[in-house]
Amino acid sequence: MPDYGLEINGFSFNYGVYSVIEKGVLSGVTTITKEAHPDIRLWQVFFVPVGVRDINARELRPTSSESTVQNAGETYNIITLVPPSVGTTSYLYFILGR
Amino acid sequence: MPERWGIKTTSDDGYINLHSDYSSMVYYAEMLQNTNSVRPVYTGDNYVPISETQKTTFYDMGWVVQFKLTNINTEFLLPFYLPAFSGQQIGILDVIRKDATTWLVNLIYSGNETNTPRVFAFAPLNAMPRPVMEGRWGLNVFDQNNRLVFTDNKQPLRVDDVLLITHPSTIKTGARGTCGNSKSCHINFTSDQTATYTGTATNSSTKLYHIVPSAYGGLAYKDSDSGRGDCGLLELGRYEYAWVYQSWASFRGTVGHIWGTRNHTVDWLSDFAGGYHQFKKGSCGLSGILGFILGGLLTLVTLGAGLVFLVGGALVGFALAGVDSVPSLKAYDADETIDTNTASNLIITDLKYYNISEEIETEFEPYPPGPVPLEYVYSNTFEETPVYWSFRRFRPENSTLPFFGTLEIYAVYPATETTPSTTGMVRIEDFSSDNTIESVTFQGVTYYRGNFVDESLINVYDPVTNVFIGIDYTAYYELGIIGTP
Repeated sequence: MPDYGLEINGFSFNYGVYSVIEKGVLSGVTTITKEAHPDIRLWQVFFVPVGVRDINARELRPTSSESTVQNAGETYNIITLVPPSVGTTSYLYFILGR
Repeated sequence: MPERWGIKTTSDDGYINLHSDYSSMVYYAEMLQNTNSVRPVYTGDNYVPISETQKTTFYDMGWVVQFKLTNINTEFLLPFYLPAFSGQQIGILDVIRKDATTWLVNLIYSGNETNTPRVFAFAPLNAMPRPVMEGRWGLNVFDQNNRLVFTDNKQPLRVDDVLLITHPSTIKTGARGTCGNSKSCHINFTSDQTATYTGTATNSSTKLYHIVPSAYGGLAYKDSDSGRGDCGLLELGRYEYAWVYQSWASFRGTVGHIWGTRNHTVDWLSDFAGGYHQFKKGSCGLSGILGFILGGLLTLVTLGAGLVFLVGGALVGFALAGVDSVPSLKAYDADETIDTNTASNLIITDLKYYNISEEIETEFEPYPPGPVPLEYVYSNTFEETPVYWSFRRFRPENSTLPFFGTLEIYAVYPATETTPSTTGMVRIEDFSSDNTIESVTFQGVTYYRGNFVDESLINVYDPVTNVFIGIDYTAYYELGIIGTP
């Protein structure tokens, strides 16, 4: 047991705990600017289909990507979420970070 | 560093572990198995029979099962599974929000029917009603919008590893054999394309995994022929004939986790398979009807809303939760794979972080599978102390009134260290006539109807006139219970 850090009810916060930075229902191209969350350094994107996935419709999954943009001399790191090009299943997105 | 309020902690590796601007993802509850595990095959017109052994040896079929969680009011849910054995191939097919407080997960797994994985629900703390989650003591943290983002009553998601997974672009490249004019022939659709990913965390029997693989596809085979046959010496002329054979296996991407290693294998399991064969033959001496025969041959069935019935009722259990909770099935007429280029995130945690027991806490075979703390035993002698669920209905002879039913649940509560065993009957008046109820919660205890055991039909006579007045029907079922009185 370490001599530093925070422990609550037996749970130690010295280990990797991800928080929910952003979440929502993916309804269009969605962007998250990392600089809006300066305390967060690790990012993970998860998509969860909600509803029965129609494989007869050859449904695809959403995609995510990271990029950098310049605006007024400042550099911003962007996470872009793109809905699937085929299919009507609704998707939740979770941006977990720490 | 911008001015902030609230609480913030940083771990010894320099990353934020708790921040009052952001909600924890917390462990909520274990999901319960809601259906039997099934391996559906086509049983419509001209079907090719597929035995249970052939489902394994030729069609590489996994078991499809549904899990359910009730009484959770959240718009966001992240399901994790616990494999039943090392390397078990598992794929989450669908995550369904049935209504405001009910979620379903359809899942496919390898192994035997009894090797059912366990499924656990995680959800954002700030997506659930506060009175449900907030502890009465300890630490509660709120964000600037007064939403609860941490409470020490609920363990937050602690992540051991995250890695991106994609599936191979093909399902099978090896030989698969051929079939001709036969109703008992099978093509070997067993998949042979896999891949291995190595993470940073060592897999074990306590690790929980979340991934919804994106890849799916199918393998198919088709052959046909037509021609003329000889009618023989005693018959004039020849006959015309035509036949068609077609079979397929639909596949979903799965992932297996090898205990004692950091390796994860991506593979394929078939969620639906089938075949059909048709042969038509003209009469001797007649010609020119081949076109008619070919036109009458069955074409590939397009499965849609009627699939529940075309698979011999195997998916009826899923349909009980609503037709919109039945896994989507497809009959392929050519090899193809879909969405193999889209990577999915695999996230790993451990049930030890959430005080989840590694074993299902029951001494007896539970129904439904899950933490059933009470015994269930059926005896129709009634001399022993029975535990059963019965549905009883009576209708007078010649009556036009509908049946009325009475739900009677008779349970034995076993002794504990501090209390003796008790018995009791719960009677719940139920005036439905079709006995479709599968579970009922009464005074904080949830009772589940199990397998049918027995039934009785008793003629009822007027006690005074001895005239027959009707039939008393009772059906007895096994009983499972969650909760204590």
